[in-house]
Amino acid sequence: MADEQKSALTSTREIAERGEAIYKEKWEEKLSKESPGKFVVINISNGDAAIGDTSEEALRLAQEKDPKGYFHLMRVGHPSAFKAGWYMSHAH
Amino acid sequence: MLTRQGRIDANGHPYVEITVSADGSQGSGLSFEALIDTGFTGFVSLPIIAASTLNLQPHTTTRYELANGKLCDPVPLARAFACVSGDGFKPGIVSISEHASGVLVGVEFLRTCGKGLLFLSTGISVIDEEELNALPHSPPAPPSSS
Repeated sequence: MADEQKSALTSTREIAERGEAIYKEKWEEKLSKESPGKFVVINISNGDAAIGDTSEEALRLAQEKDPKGYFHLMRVGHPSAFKAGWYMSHAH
Repeated sequence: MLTRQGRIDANGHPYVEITVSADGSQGSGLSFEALIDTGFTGFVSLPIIAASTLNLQPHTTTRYELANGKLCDPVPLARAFACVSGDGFKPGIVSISEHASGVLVGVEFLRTCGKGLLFLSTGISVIDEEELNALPHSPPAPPSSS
């Protein structure tokens, strides 16, 4: 199936699941010891990780290395990069 | 004067006008009345139609931890620029919501923009932190002798 034929939701899910799998296989053990609390961006094409004190910093570093890449954002030692408030939680 | 006035709606939710831009160039972007969600730890969340109008290009995904502790379905993200309307743009990561119809700003927006939030009886004020720090600090009250 061509990329443009995929729905946005399917693509979003595929990117996220690929990024989470790469993180678990390649980065989780190392970063849990070295960079707890940092934001990490996984490049799903080559498995690279970019780390920053803020999400914006981590993503900027990842895009500098691969401007056309697709990425998944996580936070080391946390279940997710961000917490949703009440309003956002009820929209999902 | 760097203080911006916001409003509180009938449900007690605070709103402030923000401007979001894809490239952060002066005069660019669209303005929105955004709900300040202090439980949201991210920067800005836009409905998908607003993100499309701004021509934001999602290239990243993430998940949020919801109020019930569960993780949401993956959400697309784009790098963009935003500010309290009238201020200079700051870079950040914008979440593109396929479900919500409103615009939200979170604590990362307040932190990045250097803003404090004051709840008043008549509304809210979004104040530059430098202004807050310039206020004279009252000395602590002496301990009670009773």
